[in-house]
Amino acid sequence: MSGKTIVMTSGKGGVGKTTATANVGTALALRSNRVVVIDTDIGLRNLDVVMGLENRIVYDLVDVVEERCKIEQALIRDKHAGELYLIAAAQTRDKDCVSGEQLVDLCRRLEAEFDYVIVDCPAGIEQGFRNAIAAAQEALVVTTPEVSAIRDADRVIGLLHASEIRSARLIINRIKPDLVRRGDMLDASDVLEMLAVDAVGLVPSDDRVITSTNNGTPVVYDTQSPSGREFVRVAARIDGEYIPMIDPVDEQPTSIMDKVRTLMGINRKASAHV
Amino acid sequence: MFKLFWKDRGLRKGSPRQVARERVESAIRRDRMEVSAPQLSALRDNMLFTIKEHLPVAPEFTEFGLQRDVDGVFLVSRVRLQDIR
Repeated sequence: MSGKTIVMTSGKGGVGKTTATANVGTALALRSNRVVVIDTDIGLRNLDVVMGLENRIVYDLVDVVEERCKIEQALIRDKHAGELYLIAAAQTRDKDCVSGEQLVDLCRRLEAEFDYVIVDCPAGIEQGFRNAIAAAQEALVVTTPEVSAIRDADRVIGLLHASEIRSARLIINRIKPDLVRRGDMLDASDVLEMLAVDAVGLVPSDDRVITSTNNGTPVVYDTQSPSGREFVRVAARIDGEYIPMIDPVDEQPTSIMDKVRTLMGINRKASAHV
Repeated sequence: MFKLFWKDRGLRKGSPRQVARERVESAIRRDRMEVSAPQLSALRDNMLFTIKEHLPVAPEFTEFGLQRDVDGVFLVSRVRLQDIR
């Protein structure tokens, strides 16, 4: 097996990078892929909590690179998806205790066993970011339709290109269709035009993400969740399947009749494709 | 292809979306034009080296840098020549 390493990055913190990592990783595993997600946010780990695996951590990333355990001992099997594993970040160590070379070596070894190695990158563009992108062949840049997040995403895309990661695609998270319709929020076309990269997902803002995170169950398991459905489509696109891009502004029902249709299970075909 | 299918929603003048778009574009333009101090210094030295081949330069009065205004980013230089009277 020769898998690929994908880094999830954003520049700005708090845009939903870790949530996206958990959901894309889970959705890829539900497509019968062997997937490992690595939390590289040393000192501020959260991927374990989002995936509901915080009580199963015995060994972490730093234990692996410092050879206090074998890789297999640090792999935490997911509760739900059979072939999904987590390597947690160390919570009580310094960010500098893992080098780029060590992470590259780990990812190359994991690529021999897994279809996808997904690296959850820390926020910012410091050493932790440089370590995380060192091992990746592809990057998914998570942003929200907000000024600061887009600006930081642009900076990160520039750095990814400088480090010769040419395949950087965008996940635009937390799109609020009502605000976009009123002209109060940037829409997906604005963001894509300014950043000049391809999209791999347009994820609507969704309260169900909060409840799923509280429960430690990724939102892709919730078939009623609009964001969960989009993360499933993101995984399919990463996996090479052609799935047309669906703008949440067109997907979400606006009129009472649309809402009745949705409740009755009569779906109107989404009309906005990229 | 992308443009053909995308609806132009709410991009009216003065709307929060329009304001946000202009602000992001402005910020990104500046960020992309950022030149590091060593790069700027090397550029200045190269420029002075070339000018000195043609004209006598008084380097202690050389200004060199990036200036930004609403029209964009400009590389601005002011080089004093030696008095040859």
